[in-house]
Amino acid sequence: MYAPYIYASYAVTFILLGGLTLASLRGLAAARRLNAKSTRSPVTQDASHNEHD
Amino acid sequence: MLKTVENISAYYANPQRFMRLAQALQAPVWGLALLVLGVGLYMVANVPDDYQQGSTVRIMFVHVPAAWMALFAYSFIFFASVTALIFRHPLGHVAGRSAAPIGAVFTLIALITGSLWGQPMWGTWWVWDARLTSVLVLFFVYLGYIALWQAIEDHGQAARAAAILAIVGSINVPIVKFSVDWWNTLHQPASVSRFARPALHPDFLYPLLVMGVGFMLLFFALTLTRMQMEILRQRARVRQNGGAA
Repeated sequence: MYAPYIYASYAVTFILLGGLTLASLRGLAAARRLNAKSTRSPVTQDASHNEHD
Repeated sequence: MLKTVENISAYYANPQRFMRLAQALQAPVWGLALLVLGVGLYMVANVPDDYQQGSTVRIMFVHVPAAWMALFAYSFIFFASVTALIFRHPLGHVAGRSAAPIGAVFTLIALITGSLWGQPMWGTWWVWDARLTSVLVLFFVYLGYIALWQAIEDHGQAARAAAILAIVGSINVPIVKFSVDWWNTLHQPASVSRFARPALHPDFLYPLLVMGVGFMLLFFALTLTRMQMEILRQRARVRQNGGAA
């Protein structure tokens, strides 16, 4: 009789926590790529040249 | 003891050192969180029906830990904000910003599962009683904190404004916690307390505590992951701006 409420509760929990976990892991991977890209960008290289000047 | 905490805090104020620690801890914390949650779910699958609530008592094992974590995550953001504003710890704002979506999700889970538990037990999805309303306010404070970070373009200003909001909004945490004692509410008072014997039978108490530990480990695993993400994003932004933050 109460099964739909119980299954819905666990489904909501898994979907929300699973979604947050996936978003966080994908966000970390994207940030790593962005960070690696920015170290190679001309702006950064100019900035590092300026630091040496 | 306080000196040791201060020394550790000062040592990891260097984001580079923190990144090394976070990378080393990430896999073990994730692994432990999944293991404890797996054990917790196994225990939940084997709990007997409650003599009053029947099988709906199983909703408690996600609803109550989510509600605990909603308050814990906000307390974490409060201390991170105080650390950032008063002690100017460079990781304070990073920690606060990283924990906010996690706290918001736990609060949303507590609200939805509470509603799904309320319908069969109370005969209604929602009542405007003190506990439910104060948790809804907590959810809106989380959303406001997240929105403030997004709304202000200057990173330093956004960080200060969000930290002030987090500190002001912390007034709601004791209201959520003690609302069931201060007002007559449909929501029941706390069943698990540090100061009194738990009102729960061990058949329900132990799975609940295991799920609580699992949710806590999941919070730390997610926070570690998101803090690394924030630090890397900030680093890339600083580089893109040619060294200016």
